[in-house]
Amino acid sequence: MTTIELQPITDWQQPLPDAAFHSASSVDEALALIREHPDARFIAGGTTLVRLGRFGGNIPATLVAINRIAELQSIQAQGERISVGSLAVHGSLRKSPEIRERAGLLLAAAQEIAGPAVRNLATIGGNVAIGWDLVPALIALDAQVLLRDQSGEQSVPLAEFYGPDGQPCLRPDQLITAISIATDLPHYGFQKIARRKAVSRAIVSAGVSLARDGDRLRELRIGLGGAGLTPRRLRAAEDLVRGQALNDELVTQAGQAAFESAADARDDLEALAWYSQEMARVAVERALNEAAGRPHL
Amino acid sequence: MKHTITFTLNGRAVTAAEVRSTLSLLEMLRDKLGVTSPKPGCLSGDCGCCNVHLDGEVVPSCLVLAPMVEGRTVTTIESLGGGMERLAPLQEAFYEHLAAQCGYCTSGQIMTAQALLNENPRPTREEVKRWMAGNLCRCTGYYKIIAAIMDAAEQGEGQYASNGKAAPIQAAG
Repeated sequence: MTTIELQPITDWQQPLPDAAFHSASSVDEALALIREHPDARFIAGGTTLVRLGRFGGNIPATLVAINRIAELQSIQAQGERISVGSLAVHGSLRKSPEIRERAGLLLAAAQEIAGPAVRNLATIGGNVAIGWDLVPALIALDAQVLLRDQSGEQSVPLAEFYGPDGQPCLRPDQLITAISIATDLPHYGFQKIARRKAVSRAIVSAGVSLARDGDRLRELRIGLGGAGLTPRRLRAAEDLVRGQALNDELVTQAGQAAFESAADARDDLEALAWYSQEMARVAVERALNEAAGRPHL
Repeated sequence: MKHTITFTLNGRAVTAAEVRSTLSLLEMLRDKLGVTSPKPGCLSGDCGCCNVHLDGEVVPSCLVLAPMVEGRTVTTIESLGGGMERLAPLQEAFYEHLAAQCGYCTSGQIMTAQALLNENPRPTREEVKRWMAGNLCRCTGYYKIIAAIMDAAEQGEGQYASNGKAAPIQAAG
């Protein structure tokens, strides 16, 4: 995984450095190409990589394009879960009846990312691979990441996919093939706090999905992450409110749990660490209220 | 690494030779094929000035690598309406509402709006505002742009190619 270090903009309109380029049309072909070229990296939508190059970062000398792999573009129901192909683009989610009817949280989060044009290039797998703004919502949907490499397939809980530095546990020869999400919790809330509403990266965002039993929260999941905050599931906050009828005091306690969890926030271009930590509290409180149908702003 | 890229541009098969792997679709259109309506603005997907349609979906051409376009279909504003003589309804509405000032962002604005009207011919004002959030204009403010899109949609003529009803370009003044 390449670390993104934005540099002062120089040589603004200079062309990107050249690279060798190979296009794969199947997962097997992609894995064979990456094995054949050990220095190569996969490129899917390209939105991260091309921007990285434009901002003066090093781009890989060899690229293996995977955007043509049709088998990774579909969104399919799998019993109580939905399998989202890693190459499905953000803009395709709203066209999927499965997502619209059973995963409103994912749709709500995706529509907060970039603008419509970038969303037509940026893939779900790419968002997961860089730990971007979709991840808190996916964690609230109990997402599992499906990985393929030469030795086979494995499934990793998304909530455990990122190291303390926020980087994913992903080797260059591993390909994310799908993200599997749960549909068991019908109500949701998603809150993004950013420098401006449109297009900007989230300072923090929080996703909540829950099921009610009368006034009580029968079950819930809370995901949190941000530009300077490693994505995580907030089990401590969940435990505080599970089985309870939500009230202001419980929401405040859940927000406090989010604040305490976010003590490891890092200074980032979007915000300093202390601000991200404060906003973790705000985002979780609002998302929880929203999911429970309470006033949230 | 050099490539020869063949794709469909505005309904015609075109070939660009000697294309570097990391040349963007934007650069290929402008520098190799002479199609200059997509404008280089931020070159990082934030401004929308270079938006074109790729296989019918609006994308920022600055973020698409040229080899990824092989065999696909690209549409720029040149194919809207009836060429230089007849405006498409959206173009006509931008003209009527003075929604372009310096014009640099305009082809991107119109291609983005056209993608919305293709999918949702009668959007609400709120839907238009949200959809256009990735297109920056530094001259007009956005009221005239939104008004133009709403007007084109209300005329019920937000279909992709011009239906021929749009008036010819009037000489200004």
